[in-house]
Amino acid sequence: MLELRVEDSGVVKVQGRLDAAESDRALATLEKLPGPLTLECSQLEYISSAGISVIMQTWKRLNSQGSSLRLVGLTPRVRNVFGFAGLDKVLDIQ
Amino acid sequence: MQKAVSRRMESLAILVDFVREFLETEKLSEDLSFDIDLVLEELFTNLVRHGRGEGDVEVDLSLVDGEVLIRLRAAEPSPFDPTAAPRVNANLPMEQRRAGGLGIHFVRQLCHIFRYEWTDGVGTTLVVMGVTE
Repeated sequence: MLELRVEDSGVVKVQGRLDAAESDRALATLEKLPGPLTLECSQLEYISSAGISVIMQTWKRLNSQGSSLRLVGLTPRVRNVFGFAGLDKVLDIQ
Repeated sequence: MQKAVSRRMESLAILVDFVREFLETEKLSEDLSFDIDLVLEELFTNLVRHGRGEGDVEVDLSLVDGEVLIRLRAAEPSPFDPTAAPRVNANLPMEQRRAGGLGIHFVRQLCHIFRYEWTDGVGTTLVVMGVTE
């Protein structure tokens, strides 16, 4: 189960599992939000390629608008998945 | 251990429970669930999204010589070979990347054996991953 909690000042707390069963709902939520955005991921337990795709689409949308996306608080396992994709070098991950 | 699940995204929750049942049965750490979930999800969703067959997907998990074997069997009218998926260039800048296509890339990263065979209308994908706790 995934929960996205939109907080003030462009911070979105991401909790649970961002998998193929949840990716459409996650994208629909993020698509409505203006940038810049920070995804706070300390409670993100799991991510698959479907979740990575949501992050990439959100980055592309914000980048095309001259805005930005930042990810913070990733667990080592979630960060590994970004590393497999080579995205740890090109996304703003802290 | 074997489990048959229908070809829809909602089956992922069943597979998550199945992986935990497997780890408990084999007395393996739940810490291993992340990588097994990832490989299983990517192979399964690839079948759901792009496969041309119908009917359930049979998933088999086993522990052999300290390695986890994952086997998926599914009816397919013609070969649908995930090992033939194009390689992903993980070194491109974001502007040149397209969203999608990473699932099989992850399987290749995590599994040292990745095979597919198709016989009599049934495709079988086999992957083997090391167990590191």
